[in-house]
Amino acid sequence: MRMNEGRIGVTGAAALTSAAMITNGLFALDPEFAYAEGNSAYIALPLSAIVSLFAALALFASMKRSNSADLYGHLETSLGRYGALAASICIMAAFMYCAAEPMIAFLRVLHRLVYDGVSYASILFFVFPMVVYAAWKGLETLSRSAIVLFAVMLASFAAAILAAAPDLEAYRLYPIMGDGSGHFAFLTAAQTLAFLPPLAAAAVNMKGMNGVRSAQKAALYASVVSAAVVGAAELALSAIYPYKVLSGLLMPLYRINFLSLSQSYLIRLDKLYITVWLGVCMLSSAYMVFSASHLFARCFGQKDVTPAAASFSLILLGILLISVKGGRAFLSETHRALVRFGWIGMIVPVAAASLLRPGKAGRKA
Amino acid sequence: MLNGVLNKVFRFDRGDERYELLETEPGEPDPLRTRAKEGEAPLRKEAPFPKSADEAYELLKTAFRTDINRDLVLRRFTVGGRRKALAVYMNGMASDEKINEFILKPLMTSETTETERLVLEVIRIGEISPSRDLKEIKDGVMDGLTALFLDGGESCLMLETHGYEKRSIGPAQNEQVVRGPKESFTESFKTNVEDLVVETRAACGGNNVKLAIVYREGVADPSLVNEVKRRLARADIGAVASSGVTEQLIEDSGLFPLPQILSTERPDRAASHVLGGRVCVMVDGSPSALVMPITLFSLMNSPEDVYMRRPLGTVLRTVRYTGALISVFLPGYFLALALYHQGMLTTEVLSTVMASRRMVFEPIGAEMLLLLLIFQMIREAGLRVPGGIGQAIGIIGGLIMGQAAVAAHLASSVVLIIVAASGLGNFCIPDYSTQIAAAYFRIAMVVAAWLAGLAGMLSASLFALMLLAGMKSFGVPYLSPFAPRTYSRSPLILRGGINCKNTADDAVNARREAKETSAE
Amino acid sequence: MKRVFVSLFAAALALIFCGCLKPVSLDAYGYVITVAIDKGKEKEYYFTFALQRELGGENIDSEGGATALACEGDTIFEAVSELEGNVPYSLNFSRAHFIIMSRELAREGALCDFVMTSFDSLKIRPSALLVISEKGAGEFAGGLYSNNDANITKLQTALALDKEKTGMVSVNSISRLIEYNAAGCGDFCSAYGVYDDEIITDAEQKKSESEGENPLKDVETGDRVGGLKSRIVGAAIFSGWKMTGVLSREETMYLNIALGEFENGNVTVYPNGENEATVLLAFVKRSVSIDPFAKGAIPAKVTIELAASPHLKDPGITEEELDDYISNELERVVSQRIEEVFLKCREAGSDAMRFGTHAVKRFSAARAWEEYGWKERLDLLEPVFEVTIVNTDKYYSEDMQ
Repeated sequence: MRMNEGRIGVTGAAALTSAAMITNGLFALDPEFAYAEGNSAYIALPLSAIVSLFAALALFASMKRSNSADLYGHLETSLGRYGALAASICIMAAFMYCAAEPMIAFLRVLHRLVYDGVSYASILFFVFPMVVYAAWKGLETLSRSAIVLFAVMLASFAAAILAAAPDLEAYRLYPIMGDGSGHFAFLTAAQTLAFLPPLAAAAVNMKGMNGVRSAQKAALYASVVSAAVVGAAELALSAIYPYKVLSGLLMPLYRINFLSLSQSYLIRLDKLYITVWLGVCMLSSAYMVFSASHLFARCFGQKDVTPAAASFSLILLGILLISVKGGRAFLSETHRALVRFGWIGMIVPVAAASLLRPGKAGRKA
Repeated sequence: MLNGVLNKVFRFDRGDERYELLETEPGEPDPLRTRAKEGEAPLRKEAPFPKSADEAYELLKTAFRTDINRDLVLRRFTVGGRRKALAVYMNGMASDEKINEFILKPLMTSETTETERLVLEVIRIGEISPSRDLKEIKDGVMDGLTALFLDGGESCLMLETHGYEKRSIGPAQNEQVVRGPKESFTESFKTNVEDLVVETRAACGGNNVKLAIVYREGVADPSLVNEVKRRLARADIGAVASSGVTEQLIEDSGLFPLPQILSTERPDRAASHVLGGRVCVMVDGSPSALVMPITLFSLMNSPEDVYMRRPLGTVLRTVRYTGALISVFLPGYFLALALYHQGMLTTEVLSTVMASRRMVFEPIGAEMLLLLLIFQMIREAGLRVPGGIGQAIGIIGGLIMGQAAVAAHLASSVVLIIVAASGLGNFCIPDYSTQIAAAYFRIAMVVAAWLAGLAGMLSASLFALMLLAGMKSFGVPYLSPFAPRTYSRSPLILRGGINCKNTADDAVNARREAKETSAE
Repeated sequence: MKRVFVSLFAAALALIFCGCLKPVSLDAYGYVITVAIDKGKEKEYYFTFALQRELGGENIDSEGGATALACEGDTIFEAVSELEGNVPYSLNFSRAHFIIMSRELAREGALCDFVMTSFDSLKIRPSALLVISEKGAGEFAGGLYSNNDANITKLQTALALDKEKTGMVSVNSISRLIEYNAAGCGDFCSAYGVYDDEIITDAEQKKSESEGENPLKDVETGDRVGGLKSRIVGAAIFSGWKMTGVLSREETMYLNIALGEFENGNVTVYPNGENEATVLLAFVKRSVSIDPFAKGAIPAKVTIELAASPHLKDPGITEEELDDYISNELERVVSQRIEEVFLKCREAGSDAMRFGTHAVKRFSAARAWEEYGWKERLDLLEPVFEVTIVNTDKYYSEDMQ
């Protein structure tokens, strides 16, 4: 048995979940979609994190009732073998989406804005092995690294926002909520695809997190912290660029200090910030890959998570290469659809697992 | 067949066999640091005072664990050939001469057997006090007193027989402090162990080298003590000649660059760790003690931090950590900026560096690596040659060669300053092995920065971080108490208070009694 | 151990195939500090790039802090590639602090082309300051670094400081230009400069002296010597991407007051119609209210509060006269001047006072704002400027009494 779970505490679990939620919330955001009809992201994103928290809490409550050891166990008791398999596939797909989407954004930024004339493959060569290694090492290593990196990430966000503070202007936030409740609600729902998978990952790795109570606590802390961080970052960003500009920018957060007339060293730390954020993103991707592998191993009764981790890492590599190199129309259309409607694929299995009563097996347990 | 090959390459079939010092408490604390409820420590059951010398013999044999604690002497004799008695003392702590000449000899030849007359007329010791408290008796014996039990006596006589060996104990060479004790361990085994509760044993391998395993019973986690013993027993290759070799034989990972066992030549440092629930191993013939388990933060601590007042200790630690970070990251960071991210440097810096590099022929990365190598060479040469010449080498290497290298366009002055600053930062690290490990990391950062700028440095840093995060020293996570968090928050960068009820060694699962008394 | 060596070997092999990320040593670059764009003769544009010279360079005293490279091209990329083929280094734009464009090009809206195509590709930071030059942008750039400034990047900071001290400069970066054009909430204004070839710089003076000439012999009394050949003389106002007008330094100050970007400055007043006095002005607060939904004209009210204190005065003016003027007349004069500036901007089709940034706050939906068409309704705007000036010196003296 080598599931690489170990035992992690609430802080580690919260740091890891929070890092993944923040990474997905801020960097997997499609600016074209988020700012298409005005700027409401700074309200919609934190709200989405809270909505995801409620969904996760419902799931945890249901797991407590069914006395399941982890998410797969719960899915099996609630939905039966085949239902659990189908739901697991959906959840694994969502995990892989969360692993790939922010990485793609970072690769694009590194390729276009940070390095001159460098191929995607070269950047991947330096970045990707660490994702694989982290996924391979397992939950303990991931959570401890997350605690360290999380502190650095918070410091970098604070520094970036503080440096941008003199250029913040309130008029850029208007019209408040963009085009009203329709798009706002849609954005809130769509962004659960960014926030819910890390919370579901906590359910998958519940055994390593010392049971459902610890996982629940970690999810609560992670959601509140991520909502605050994502909200603050988006608010600062919205007060720096109007929505029309934001919708056309590749990773707007990278350019948060681009307005300042001062040319001092401290104002020009954007490449350092993006390096820190990339580090957190790599960790988050590794966590998602590990969680997908863990769920896969549970689905198919494997006693060792590492072969699945190796396979999912390869799948991630494929997704990254196709996404950054593809450029085909159908790919961008698929991506658009995924960004807008992918959340349904995640929320349905989670809702089903939360609402359906445990089957015979569950009742016995 | 493919499965077999894959298993062989990736070792899929390998189970996780590492020893883990698992938490006895329900997980680590949550971010709000709400403390989980712990059961109260059971009260120690007090044994009744022995009525006879034989009873005292049996009682003390168990209490002192004489099966493993070989230094305790339980001497049975008769007073004047009529009344049974028992003298108890600690070899190395009490003076044999005093005991033989002024206690045993007069008592054995005494005509009287009455306790009062023995005290007044026979025993020729200055200070004598009666005691019925077994804990007090035990502490007294540990402190060098001799306990005298007489058949039918209502109390035991505590006789002042302190007798430390009076040979000189030199100052610590590698762990110097401004304030605090200067003394270091010596090569003499008995002198070293005098303050500590010890188990002695011969090292496996037949070379008859003695080892001492020192820990506080009832404080150190028994599973940790057993693990140390198990590893020592496993190290059966007959190569144990020094603490350095022992360290390599019992550490968790031989390839991990940072030490997983603290080697200290300072008794106060070793004692502080033992008080906190760690285990110390001493090897006869080695002037340093091995402390385990340790974390990265204990390696970054100097004994001085505790001797200084709290704000000063914190400042010292902050400077030390800053120095260490500069030492590891500055050369790589500068190189990354110089090769890939020039826009981050201000125009003044760019212009200065360009001017200083105008005639330097080698690439800036090679220049950096060359200077780092030369720095290591100067350092190594300075260490190996005798004192005065060593200093001269430092001056020649540092000043004259540096000047000459810049004048000859072998190096630019800016890169020279960066290498010097990183070298200086390296010396802020208190532990010698950690200093060398930091040099490895520094070179790795430089290479990574040369290859891929900040992204390369990030990958190298993440790799290092994950190595640290995944590493355990005798089952204790290497980054605790920060990652994972423990109830105790020390040792960290901010120094904790000394008087407060801290839980210094929560990470090693020390029992509660120790958590409330130790501080670092 | 075997596994470690295998892993290292595999890593080395992969490195050989993927390569490192193309490092270029910092001394292999020429750092472009200023990009000046003029109309070309044979090609569309004439680019002048001012490169920061190394500090401590041998010729620094004689030629100022920069080296100029110039080339024609239809795009900036064409010019850059041509130049890079002829110099032993590559051009690096990551430290570009100034974008200077000639008025002729700015009026044609050439900034749009330039900004949209080159910024991300050349890694120019959009915080670079935009300056419109009255005549040749290249000459203006040359004038900027002709005064032996070892580090000409400080000029950007110096201009920002000048704005703080005098309020007579408009300091705006390219990012603002992009923002106003995208958001449609206002129009851009930039620094406007002139180049004066007749001014003799320190370097020229020293050079002539060393050759035994007296460069000052022909200079008429009162002409500038030893100074900058390039000077900022006001602000260029834009309508969208096109420059449509020019404001003088004094008008720029009133524009800044109306925008709330003014901090300190001074005005010259004539309390008795003859003798002049200088009054220091300091910004206190400003508020704007606007009703974009009003039928017919769009009413707006700008309330500005300033603090004033007399600085220098002619002996022919009494204290009372000056105090009286500051309390009663100055408010009217300032509000009148602001209104004049507003009218000038409106005439140029520019919302340089950025009433749009206040109008947008009244809209509850982004689409409604976009459909409203603020720029088209600019002519309907009828603002009222209410200026209150507090004579701080008078209060101090009354308190003391």
